Amino acid sequence: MKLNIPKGWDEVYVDDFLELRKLETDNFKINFSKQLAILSVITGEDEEVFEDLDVDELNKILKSIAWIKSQPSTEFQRKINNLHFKGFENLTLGEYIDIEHFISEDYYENLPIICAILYRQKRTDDWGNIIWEPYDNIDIWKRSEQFLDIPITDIFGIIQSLLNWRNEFMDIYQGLFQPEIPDADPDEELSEEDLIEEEKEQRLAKFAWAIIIDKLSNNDITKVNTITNLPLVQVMNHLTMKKVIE
Amino acid sequence: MVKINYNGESYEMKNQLEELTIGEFEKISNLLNNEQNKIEAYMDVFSILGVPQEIIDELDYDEFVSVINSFEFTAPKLEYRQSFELDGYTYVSYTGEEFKLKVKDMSLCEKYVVQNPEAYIGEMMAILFKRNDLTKNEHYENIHIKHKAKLFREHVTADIALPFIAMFSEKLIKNVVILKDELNSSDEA
Repeated sequence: MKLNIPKGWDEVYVDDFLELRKLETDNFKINFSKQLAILSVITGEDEEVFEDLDVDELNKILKSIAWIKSQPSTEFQRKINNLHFKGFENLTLGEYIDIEHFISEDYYENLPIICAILYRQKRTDDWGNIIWEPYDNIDIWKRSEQFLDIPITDIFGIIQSLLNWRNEFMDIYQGLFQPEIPDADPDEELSEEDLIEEEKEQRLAKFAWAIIIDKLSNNDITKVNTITNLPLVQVMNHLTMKKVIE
Repeated sequence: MVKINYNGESYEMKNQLEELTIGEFEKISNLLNNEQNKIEAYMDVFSILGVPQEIIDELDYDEFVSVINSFEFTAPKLEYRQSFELDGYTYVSYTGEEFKLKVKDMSLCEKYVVQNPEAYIGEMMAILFKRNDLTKNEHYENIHIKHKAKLFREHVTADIALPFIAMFSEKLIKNVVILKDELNSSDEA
């Protein structure tokens, strides 16, 4: 029986990678069931194909996929089909907010949709400036489908890069990300007013971005799109300046 | 068989693998593997093997030990039985030159081990020995396996099962080691 067994992560597509991740979190009580499921995903064959194999033959196949123990490469492609990696420094406020949302859920599960935000078409204007495809023009769910049918090694590394960049970014603007809870002696009981204030800050933290956008747009909902399309760094610098002044 | 004499009476007790049914072998294995108090475990074994309880309680300790030492519950040579007949049906474990454990059979056997680690040998043998008049689907139906497992527990002897038990345990351990070494990557990925 001829089986198409991948020799490395570069032969595993993103949708199969996501299936494999799902298998790891499923509660398999039986080793063989899990093994057959894994083999079925990476070879694209039905589990029944493996059921007639001798156990010793199966073990040989398992040994040949020993690479599955390692991570895919932490590099990533800057160009996927006609889409280019935009770079974290070029993110707009709206793109960043959406990325934050998808990271907070499960960043590997959401890898295709994060890539749909980060990879865009581009062109150059008459003066040689790069013009990125507008975020508002994209259906990111539909765009994410383009990232399912490519080797996982093309984009796996983008998550670690994103997380590294995000950590640095939050360090730089840490004053803006922390809720304003007054310093208190841990042994000292907070007054009722302080408790209410603390609870309020924690509730507001859930809507932090919406509140920021609302303030920047002067409560004018028609300006929301304009604000979210601003460069992220410009917005953060502006907010920092306002905080210092206030 | 071994004879136990008490008060002028003689009691026969099984002490060979080919005298034990699979059901008896399962019970004895569990007792000897799980019971902390070995003397108590062997007393229960004697009961399973046909000795009345009142006789066990009154046995001379030296004779008790001597009978235990006469047990021959290992197989000198592990040979896989190819087939046997039971109730008019022929049950076959392999048709080629030698026995090979199929992945499907291993997977099913493992399922029964997980479900009931103390009593799975009947099901394991029911999976490995197929009736030669049934289709593949009929053979693997749960009800059929359960029915056969009960039949085998009552009528098939442990000497037929032991080579398969040893093989299954060995392959299960080997496979778990491979799984642990080569597929244990989820935390990193």
